[in-house]
Amino acid sequence: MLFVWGKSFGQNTISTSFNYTKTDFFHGIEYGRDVYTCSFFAGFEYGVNRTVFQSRFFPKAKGGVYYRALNKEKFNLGPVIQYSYAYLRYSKIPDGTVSYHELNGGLRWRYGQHWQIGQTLLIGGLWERGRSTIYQQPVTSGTLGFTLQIDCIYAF
Amino acid sequence: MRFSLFIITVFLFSCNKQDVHPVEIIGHAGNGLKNPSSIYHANSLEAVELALGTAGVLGVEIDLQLSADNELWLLHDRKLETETTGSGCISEATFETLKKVRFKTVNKERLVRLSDLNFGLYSGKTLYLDIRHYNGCTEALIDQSRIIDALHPIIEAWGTVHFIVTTNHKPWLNGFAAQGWTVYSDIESMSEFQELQHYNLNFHGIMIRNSAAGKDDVTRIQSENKKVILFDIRAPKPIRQALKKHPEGILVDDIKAALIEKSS
Repeated sequence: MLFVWGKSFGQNTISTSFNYTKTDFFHGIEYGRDVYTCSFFAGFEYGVNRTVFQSRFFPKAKGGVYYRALNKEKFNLGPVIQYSYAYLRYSKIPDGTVSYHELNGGLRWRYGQHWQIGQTLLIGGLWERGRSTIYQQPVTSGTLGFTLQIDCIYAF
Repeated sequence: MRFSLFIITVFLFSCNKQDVHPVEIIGHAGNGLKNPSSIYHANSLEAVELALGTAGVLGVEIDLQLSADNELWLLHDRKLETETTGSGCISEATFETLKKVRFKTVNKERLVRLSDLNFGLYSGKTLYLDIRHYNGCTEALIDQSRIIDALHPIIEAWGTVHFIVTTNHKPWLNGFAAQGWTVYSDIESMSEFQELQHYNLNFHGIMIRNSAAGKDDVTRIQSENKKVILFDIRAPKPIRQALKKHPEGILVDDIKAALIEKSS
């Protein structure tokens, strides 16, 4: 029961975030819905270097859950898990696309009431998937992924 | 009248095609050297195959060093301990030691020999073999005939792969070219290019730092019937600048950034 008991049942959040990952800097928005002491969130981002500086749209969709282990009136902190999917078309020729899957875990904190600031630090697996022209089939290459994120949140 | 219009149209389209110079995108040390977004370590088998398998990439450059037992190993650093689990130099180690060495990364990629690459898969691709001419520990010059003996069976056996031998040691150029191999000289400045011509050295192309060669320099080298590969190109802006110089190829660390710029 302790895990489902919280102070802010039913609160919604909208946030904008700027984060650095292994694949690019990303900027995006996130919607969160509190259910007891957990917050379920989903968001959309775009890779800044590719999209802004190279005019190539690099979108990312993400979702996850944040458990507010420490849940004070103006401050909360706890573990977070997140899955994200990003897609990049780097060339107009056939097979010139690649997708990135990331499954990360880490820590998140937030400070404030209606307007909040926060940080999210994640580490986990990053898998790049694309069709190899030498193997003539899709190949997946994995390594360690990370996310260093700064959030600005409005709670309502 | 219609025939004249047709001829003019064909002429104009021909002109456009000449302006679009095909620039080859070449992976530096496989999938990039010191590239933070690379999945695999530079000069690993995985990095080479990830780069060669990327649509639009026709070649990769790899760094080669000769071991004490005359095998060519893929490694950029002079000392093994810099980025691998080994210690000392390749020049002073043998297969028995080097086969156990791995890069200090999450994937712990194995140190590989040139002969470990799956050449059967690389048909039509180009491998730029950047040969280290000195012992990484003592800096003593390596006997070129040992390098030739190590390279010869591989180049002869894999005719479907295009090998280009590159070196920054000018006295080796004629020796490699005498084998009938395609040879590029790795130079730092345009004055070195003049030097190469002055001594009548035999080479087919040059590799030069992007910042050291302007568009006119590239055109001048090409007018001497030599190919030009520009290197030391990391961010999108230098990639864009390098492509505008119309070299035969650019050696890049961020392959996808280069392919995006090329297809824009």
